[in-house]
Amino acid sequence: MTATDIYPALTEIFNEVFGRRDIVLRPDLTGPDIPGWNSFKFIDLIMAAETRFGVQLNTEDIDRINTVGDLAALIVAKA
Amino acid sequence: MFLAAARARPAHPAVSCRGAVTTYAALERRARAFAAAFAAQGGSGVLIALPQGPDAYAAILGAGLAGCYYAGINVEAPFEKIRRIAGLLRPDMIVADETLGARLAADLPDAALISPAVAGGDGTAFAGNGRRHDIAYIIFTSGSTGAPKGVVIGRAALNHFVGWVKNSGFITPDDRISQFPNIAFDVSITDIFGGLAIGATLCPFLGRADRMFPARVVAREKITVWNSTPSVMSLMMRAGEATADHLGTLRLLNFCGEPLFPDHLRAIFAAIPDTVVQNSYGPTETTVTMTELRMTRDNFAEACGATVAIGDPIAGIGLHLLGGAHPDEGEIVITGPQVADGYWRDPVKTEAAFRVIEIDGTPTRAYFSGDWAERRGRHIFFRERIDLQVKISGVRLELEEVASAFRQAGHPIVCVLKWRDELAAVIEQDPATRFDEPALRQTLARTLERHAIPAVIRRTAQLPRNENDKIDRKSVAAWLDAETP
Repeated sequence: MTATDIYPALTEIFNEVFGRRDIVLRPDLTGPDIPGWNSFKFIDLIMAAETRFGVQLNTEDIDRINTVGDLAALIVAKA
Repeated sequence: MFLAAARARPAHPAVSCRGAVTTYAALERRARAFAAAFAAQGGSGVLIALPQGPDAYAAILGAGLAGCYYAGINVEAPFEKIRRIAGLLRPDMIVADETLGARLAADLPDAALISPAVAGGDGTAFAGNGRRHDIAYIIFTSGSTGAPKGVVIGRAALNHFVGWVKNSGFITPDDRISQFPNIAFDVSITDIFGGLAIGATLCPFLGRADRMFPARVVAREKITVWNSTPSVMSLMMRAGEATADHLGTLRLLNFCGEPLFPDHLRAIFAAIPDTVVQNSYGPTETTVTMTELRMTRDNFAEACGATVAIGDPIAGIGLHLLGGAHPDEGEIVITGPQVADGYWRDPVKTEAAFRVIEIDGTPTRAYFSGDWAERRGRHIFFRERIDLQVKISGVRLELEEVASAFRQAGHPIVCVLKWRDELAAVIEQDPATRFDEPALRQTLARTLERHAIPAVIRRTAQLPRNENDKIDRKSVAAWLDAETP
């Protein structure tokens, strides 16, 4: 699995968590770029991504996530 | 007591986080190095602006060893707030990293800047400088006007509190304690002074992810004693991580700083049935906490009302309910050795809150907490802040009772407030979730009188919170102002 492979599923997760249909992910997108972003949304995204991709991230991993690209790369590395 | 613990088990971990361990011997060396640096400077007031970890703990212990007092700073707070506190304290010394230290020193040219690097020096020879300030620490809390108030805690008060932690046995030398609160929040005193006096191991929470996923830190660090505000428990429950897999190592959870709710207890005992939960109450002005109530899965239900009972006062402390219509309700007024010296350089506020009352014919200095409580059966229950008691259309209302009705209606996180002369409630809810306000109003009407159902009910994805994770009512009112034309 590559980072590119997981973008469709990751896009679904983001849209679900934010209750929208129009979020288009790109690697350099950061949380504050998305309207409605807050720390609880971040928690919900991490939980949903872990369930969807069957990975468990530790808090040091999570601290390194600044962009969607970081998250995708982490999931690939852990999957 | 820390030095005795260090002598007893020098190789035991004092601080442990993400695989890095600082032993008691190493922490003692650092504390003595800080103390030597403080003593060399002269003066007594030390502002410690460091993140949680061995350096911060060593600087705090070193301040005590050098006979100084300290004020802790949350380095994540906005700089303007840090600057304001530093300006009020006017410390003799500032311990901070180079960048923050330089910014603070610009306003305080007379304060000596001490780098945390001094902790690496050889301080083993320092054994005190023959003087001891009566003040142990100053905690700056947000006053009702928004201006920080410095609560001055004396050494005798701190010693009494630490004595209780030690004698109560809720922390043992083999425990690994969560060190969640930053050093500007007095809940950290339990960890740092209580834990290190007993010889236990502190596990500091570092970085945003440790704070967002606290249950994972419990599992990672094999934490055995949890200490925080109940809000952190709510966070674990929200993430679905209040589970045996994550929390299975906990033998005791201690909560303080805000009301604990029955839902918290139900979630904890469902996940880890054999654990013990301790609820405790205490304003910053009476040295962290001064009540205790231990609960197990078998007896917690009897301590549950709208909130969980706050417990009985610890030995030596008097808790009195004054000013109520009958003796079983009133403002919580506290007497005993843990009562603060007053507010830093603020005699007017000190005189208003610290007054003399007569106890069994003896004039006794007391702290008037502003918290309203009632005794039901053998338990005391917090009801609300006196300054939050409101009248709507001439009828007195208790905001906490209204909030309790929202919780029962399935909205566990809610802020109820008087706003523009009306009762308002803002619930925290995912915007993707359907919000049926008429149905909610119908549910509320089953438990609340008509005048107690908020005229305004709004929802938001996240209620504003302060640095200590408590819901910030003033910011909620500002949010309502902004949302409402």
